[in-house]
Amino acid sequence: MTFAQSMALLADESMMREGETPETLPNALNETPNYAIARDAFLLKLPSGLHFYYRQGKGVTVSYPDDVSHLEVSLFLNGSVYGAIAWINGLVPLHASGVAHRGQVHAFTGHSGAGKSTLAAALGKRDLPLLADDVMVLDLSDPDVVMCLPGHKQLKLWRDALEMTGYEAAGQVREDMDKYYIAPDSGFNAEPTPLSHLYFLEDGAKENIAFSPVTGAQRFNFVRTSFYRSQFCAAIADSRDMFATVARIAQQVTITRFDRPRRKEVFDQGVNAMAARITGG
Amino acid sequence: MTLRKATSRLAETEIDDEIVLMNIDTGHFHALRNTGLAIWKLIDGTRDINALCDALRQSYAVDPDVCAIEVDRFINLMVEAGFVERR
Repeated sequence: MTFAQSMALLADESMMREGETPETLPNALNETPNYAIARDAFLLKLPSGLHFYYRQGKGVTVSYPDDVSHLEVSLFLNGSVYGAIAWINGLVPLHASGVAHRGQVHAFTGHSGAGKSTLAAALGKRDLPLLADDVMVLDLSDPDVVMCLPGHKQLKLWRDALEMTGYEAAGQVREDMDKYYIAPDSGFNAEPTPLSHLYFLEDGAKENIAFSPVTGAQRFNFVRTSFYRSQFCAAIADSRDMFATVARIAQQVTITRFDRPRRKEVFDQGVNAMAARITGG
Repeated sequence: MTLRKATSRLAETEIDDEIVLMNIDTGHFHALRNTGLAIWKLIDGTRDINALCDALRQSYAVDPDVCAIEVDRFINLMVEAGFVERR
């Protein structure tokens, strides 16, 4: 399958229609109160009554009560459901945001709230187009390339991140969240593009911004922790295959720790340092 | 008693100068570096603890008794983690 076909597959499999959703998956390999996953299907049941049912080759069916908004539906479709679809179809979703420069992707990962989207948005004001926000899907079908498939064309920012980056909100993510969609100023990289660098965002630095290379077994650990919804993969993938996937990414991608103070007054310094790192400036 | 890697239930990969091991049954990971890595590379299914020590002492200037204690400790750890079998 070509990378373009993988993109088309991901888009087709994410097509959603309203309809009935089951209570359980009969062939589930892992089942919790909120989700069930099988090798060819995924069921997500949220406390709000919003349910998604994905079947490989048949797309997504959704059902929800009247008081669930379309915003909430989109949020989960583009998050957990999208991640499950990627895993089920042999792709590898990372919990990362990334920008493209000269045919290479520089991706940022870290815990929720580490500033992945904020950094990608800020770099969008420095001529670095967005590749994906929050969920970055990798296609490893070519053994020599860790290929990123373009993701959603909008970023999600909390209000304080909007203010720090100077963006105008294009819409609220959900009525009860102070989080907003934005369109990055440098636009969107719409072509599959190789992942060259993965940066781990940390905020332990008191004063100085620091880049430090990650080596050895820690590369493996960092890649493993960057997987999006890794519990889905653990449920359906052979553990040797999963190990080999982590090892391959760890060996083929440059991994760097990016530590910076999380203070608004030094935010721009961190962004400038990252932009210089990416562009070689 | 010779020592061998439990290859049927482990996965390993070398990254830079370290090795990552995963126990397939438990999902537990272990990283090896320095002397642990050196001992691991010497486990070939034919050597026992003494032979491992002899081979190590060709590369490392270490007292034989200390070497035996350290190798024994490492092997016990590896056996407990399911990465090495005694036979």
